[in-house]
Amino acid sequence: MPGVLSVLATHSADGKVTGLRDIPVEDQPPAIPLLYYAFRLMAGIGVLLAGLGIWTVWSLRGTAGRVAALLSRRKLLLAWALCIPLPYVAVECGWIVREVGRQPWAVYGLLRTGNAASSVAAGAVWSSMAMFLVFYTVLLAAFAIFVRKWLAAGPDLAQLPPKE
Amino acid sequence: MHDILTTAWFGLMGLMLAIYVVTDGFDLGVGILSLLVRREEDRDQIYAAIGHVWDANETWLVVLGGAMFGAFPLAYAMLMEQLYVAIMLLVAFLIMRGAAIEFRHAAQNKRGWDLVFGLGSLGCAICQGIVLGKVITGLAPGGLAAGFTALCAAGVVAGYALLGATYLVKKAHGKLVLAARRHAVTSLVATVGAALVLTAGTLFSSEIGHGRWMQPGVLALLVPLALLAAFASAYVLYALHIGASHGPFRGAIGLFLSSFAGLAVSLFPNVVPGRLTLAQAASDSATMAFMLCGIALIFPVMVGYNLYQYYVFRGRVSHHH
Repeated sequence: MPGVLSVLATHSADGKVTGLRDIPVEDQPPAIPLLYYAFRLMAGIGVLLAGLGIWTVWSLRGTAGRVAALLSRRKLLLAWALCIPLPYVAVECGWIVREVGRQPWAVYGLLRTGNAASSVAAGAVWSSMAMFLVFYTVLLAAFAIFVRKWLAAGPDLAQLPPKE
Repeated sequence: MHDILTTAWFGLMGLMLAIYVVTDGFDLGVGILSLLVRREEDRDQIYAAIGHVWDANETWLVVLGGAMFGAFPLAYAMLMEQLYVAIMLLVAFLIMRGAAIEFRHAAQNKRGWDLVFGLGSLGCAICQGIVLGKVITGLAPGGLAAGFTALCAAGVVAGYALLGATYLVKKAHGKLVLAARRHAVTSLVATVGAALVLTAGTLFSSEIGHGRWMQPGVLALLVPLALLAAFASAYVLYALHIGASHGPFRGAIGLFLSSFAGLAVSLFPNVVPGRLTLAQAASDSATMAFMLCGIALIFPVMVGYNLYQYYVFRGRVSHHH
């Protein structure tokens, strides 16, 4: 759409938008294809999930909002189940865009990431990163094991559901 | 103006650190003691005693880190960089301790998680002691400073064990209370002993001893605090002797707070003695003033809900759990 990008970037319909090629190579972020596709994947998932929401609301028409009416809509329920991993993918893509895209700046225009680094020994930094990786993997595994146990045990039927 | 704000923030950070040490002190303390407790039903009591409050206690450490980053960024940078390994280990042990508390009650192999909880708590105390020792010795290299730091770590472990044991005297029931009374006496002796040796060590091997303590008026502040700490220690022994349940814990808190005040007086106006003064480490006045407005709103809320949670979960651990 003509003019819209200018308005978004410069608040004026015929402002000049700074393109990627206008920035010198040493100030550009690395891995441009990664940035490009990660952003579009994230946005695409957003649109898809919005569409799923609209489909769900459309399916609820005429049912007075009773969600039990959806139990027979197999295709819709299957779509919801298949979309479970998508938010995690979208969030991670968003973070990739943000943290790769900010390079080489830690504070845009003021402080480059390389200048912000401390003089902690590389070995210490690697070890702490490995520690976090190991610990969080173990915690994720423990969580998965426990959640599986709780789900297999089923709902606590001794507790009565709230009255309608 | 900058000096006033710097002093105000020094005081605030000291207060937050004191609250953290006293509250998480007994959490970590009961964790350390759990390594000495044989029976599973006694260990169940330990988890029940801290289960509802340990989370909020740990949040004081988070506030402390955030406040230091904002108010004294140069100190934050220096300490994080110089003490990176100790701090990362502290984080690892904190994760272990927290995960163990939460996962243990659903687990089959409770003994395994009990070990993670106990060793994690012990590790936290040791790492915090190392950070304390390094700060007091002004990040100095060499064998003397290393020995002082190791003794600091031992002192912190003993001190937290004292807080934990006196807390169990207040909260537990049955045989565990008797064991807790014994542990309280042992850890009190160890804590006071470590404190005396560390005080002598500070006099000889830290810039605090040569510099700050020699300034006029400082000893006049420190001697009454030392007497207060001695009185608190005696009170803990007395309260244990007469079989009181709340007295020992209150005495232990008194011991910690008076020692803390002494540490604050000794450190001021430095953050790292001999290396970094508060004025050098502090942000500009606008930042500190802005943060002061924020903390003035948040601090009463934090103290309020902390007090409320202790009120809700007052009394001894229940017999059914």
